[in-house]
Amino acid sequence: MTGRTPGNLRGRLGVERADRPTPQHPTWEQIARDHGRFLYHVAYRLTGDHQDAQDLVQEVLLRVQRGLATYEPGSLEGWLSRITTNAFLDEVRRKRRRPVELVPAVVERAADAGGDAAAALDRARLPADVEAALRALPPDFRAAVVLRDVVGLDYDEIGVALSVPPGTVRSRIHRGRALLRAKLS
Amino acid sequence: MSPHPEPEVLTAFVDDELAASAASDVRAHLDGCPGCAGVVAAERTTRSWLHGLPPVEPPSAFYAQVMARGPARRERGRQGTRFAVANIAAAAAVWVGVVGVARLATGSETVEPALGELVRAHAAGQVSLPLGLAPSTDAVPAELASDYRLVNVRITNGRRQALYTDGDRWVSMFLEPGRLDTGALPAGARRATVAGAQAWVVDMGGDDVVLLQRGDTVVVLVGADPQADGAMVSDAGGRAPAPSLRDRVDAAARGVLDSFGFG
Repeated sequence: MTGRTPGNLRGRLGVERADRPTPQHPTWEQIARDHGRFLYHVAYRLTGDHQDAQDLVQEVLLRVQRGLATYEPGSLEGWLSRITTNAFLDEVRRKRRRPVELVPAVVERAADAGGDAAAALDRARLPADVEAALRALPPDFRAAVVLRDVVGLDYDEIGVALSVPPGTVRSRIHRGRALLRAKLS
Repeated sequence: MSPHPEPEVLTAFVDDELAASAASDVRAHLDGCPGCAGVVAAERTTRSWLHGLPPVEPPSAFYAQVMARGPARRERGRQGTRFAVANIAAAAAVWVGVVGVARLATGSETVEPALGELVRAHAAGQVSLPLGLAPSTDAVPAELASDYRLVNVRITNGRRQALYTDGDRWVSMFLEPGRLDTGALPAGARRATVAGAQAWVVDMGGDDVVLLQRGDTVVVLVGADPQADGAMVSDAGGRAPAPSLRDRVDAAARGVLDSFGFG
């Protein structure tokens, strides 16, 4: 599978493609020093807030420091994205104490209205509006969309990051984008 | 025409996540189905909006703070102790007196610090800061006044600049061998006693510069003085006055002695 999209974060942040394996468990200092911008950007897109992004980054570095996140040689950005997303969803669940598989009805309607929507969507959106719409997505959908369209992970990597099967990855990305369209239409 | 693919299959098609044969089937279907072609176009448009989001940079001091203190969960409502530049100068003075003088080439020549140049070097030091702690060195203290950690050491125009941060604010320390030429200080320089040494405080428009003589070394500290704002508020609103310079200096000196194990 190709996976990487032209607008992916690694390219735009000048991050080296990390498909070559990193041989050993990175330290939190290495992460902060070498991947700090990448980590912060992902944290911000997940949380939509600078203070929350800083808290999330600290939580990720803590998990790395305490060995709570097992590193397997491979894509370091994929691994970091997984830890970050897990920490983000843990915090969401801690705050809400209820399941997050809630799909607003508007998602279903938007998902079924693709043909008509296309013409209405044929214009650019301001980044601030896109950010606001992304922030308003249910966290599980937002996580899938961020991992795909902001970070540039492929479906397999997203499945691992979210601990969900391939069909669920596909479904969350589809519904997440549909909801985003609905909010921006 | 073949049956309409599930909408989620169209999403996977757009993302190039279908096996070759499945992708080929979808492509054939799209040729004759404006509805599904519209869904694919909408998916691509949505994706382009997300790709157009700009990278988000962390606040400038964020990683320096994390590197200095280690990662930690936020303590909500924490009010950190803020030391004025004069307090930090006191810590530096104590360090120079106790530890550092032997490491410096001391001199007897007169020093006329170019304050504007030092303030500019201070500002430039923050911008060029690498993410990471400075290499361990015994030429400058690793921390000042407990709260300020060393994050960079630079040589600018032959002068050693040590840059410290508490995560929010920055202080540069310059050490120059020689005797301070007090006659060359700006007219607005105020005299102060810092850790038992005669010192001068100069307001450089937003930054405070504190200069003091310690043995044959001139210590110069540059940084914004957070106490200045508080003092103005208390003058206007009749609140309790900010701690005196002497009080703050004493506290800082105790703090640095504790932190270096001399307490």
